[in-house]
Amino acid sequence: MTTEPNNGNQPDALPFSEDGNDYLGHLSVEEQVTVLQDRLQQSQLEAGQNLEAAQRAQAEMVNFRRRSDEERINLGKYANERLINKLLPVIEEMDLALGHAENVGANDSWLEGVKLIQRKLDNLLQSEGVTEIEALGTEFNPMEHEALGAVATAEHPSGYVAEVVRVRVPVA
Amino acid sequence: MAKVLGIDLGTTNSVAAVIQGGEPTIVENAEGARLTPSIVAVNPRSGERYVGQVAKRQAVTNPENTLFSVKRLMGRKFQDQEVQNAINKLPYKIVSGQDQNAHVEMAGQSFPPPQISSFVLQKIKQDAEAKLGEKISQAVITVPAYFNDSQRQATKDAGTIAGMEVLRIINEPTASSLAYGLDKAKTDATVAVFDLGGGTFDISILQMGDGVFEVKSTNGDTYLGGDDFDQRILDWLIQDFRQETGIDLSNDRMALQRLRDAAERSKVELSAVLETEINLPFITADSSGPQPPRQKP
Repeated sequence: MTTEPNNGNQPDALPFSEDGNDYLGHLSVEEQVTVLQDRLQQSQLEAGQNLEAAQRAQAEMVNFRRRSDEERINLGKYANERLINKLLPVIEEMDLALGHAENVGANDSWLEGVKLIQRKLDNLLQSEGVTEIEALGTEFNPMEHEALGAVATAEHPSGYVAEVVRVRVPVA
Repeated sequence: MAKVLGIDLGTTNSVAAVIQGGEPTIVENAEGARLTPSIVAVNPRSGERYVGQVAKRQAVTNPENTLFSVKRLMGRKFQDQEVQNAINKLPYKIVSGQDQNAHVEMAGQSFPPPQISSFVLQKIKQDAEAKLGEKISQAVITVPAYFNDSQRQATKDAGTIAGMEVLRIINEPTASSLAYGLDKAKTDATVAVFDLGGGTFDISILQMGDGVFEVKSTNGDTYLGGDDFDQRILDWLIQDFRQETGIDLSNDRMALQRLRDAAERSKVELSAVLETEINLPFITADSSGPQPPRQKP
């Protein structure tokens, strides 16, 4: 920290930093005023920027909290969706296996037992809100159906579902 | 300060992201997916317009009115070689507009490509607004490094038509370098960026210095992408199964669809692991019993 003698024409020592870089004592009063005004302006600018950054951070925090709440609600709401999506192809394969078992004449009581298990699984899915979308013979609706091709048929008018190839398809 | 949406407007799919807590975060669309197919369609009967996944689901039944890969035509003259190539490969009609640029037809109406892309951008914007709970009015959109001024302007126009102020058009390899934080690297470097999309494969060489990226060169195959990988895996599965069992699965709709799904899934898995298994029991059955293919691509 340094000090300079006051020659009596200038006011008492003005603020200066510990290392003496901000010392203004060697400047005239007008020059000191100009320098201080510049510093004030700079400080006000920085304060404004800091305020804006703080407000932005606060707004982001509010949005983040809202999104987190939504995600938590959705997580509870759709917790089973991913699992069910992964299960659907397996259940589809079970349908195919049972269909095949009927064709090759599997043991009736065994087949009946497995079908009961399949029905149990279907009921379980239904209780979780998973239902089969009725498609055959209805007007094609891309919101619910996925077209795999077009076939000419006299049974259904154009633009209607003529054949259902797969039912248990994951949604995403 | 309102959020700025960063959009990768792709040839096959598009993605949007915002900065959250200083990090880029992908914004899921209304269907809960990270990717939105860059596809627009019109139902010729009802006049209803579909965008994204819904448009993709009806594509095979309505090929003349389902527009995809429109990015290939953005800001290009009808006579351009790339447009002439596209005419031979795309099922919808490509015509010359009054400005001599390539335009596309859908439901008997002619559209400039930026307008079609604006429908995709509009959906992305609306879905992001719903997800984030705030209005989006500004965007940054990426374009391939090889896009010329006219193609960049067309992309910017698409954003403007969609109701957004496009703050910047950024080169795709630059955007991916930024996403990997390469701008913060202390040393200057030369980086090769590979961009394997759904239908295109680009490589760009970037020179980095003082946080500034310069594209030194760019090249690629405009007709090679992830969809081709899916097809190759599918063809391999069918061929292998035919060799082993003598059964041709390509005539079995259900089997084909299950194989197609499995091929795509295995490709996605192979991005993260070295080996995966395709296991499709009861893919088909003949008199000797069920025929399950089990393959390791």
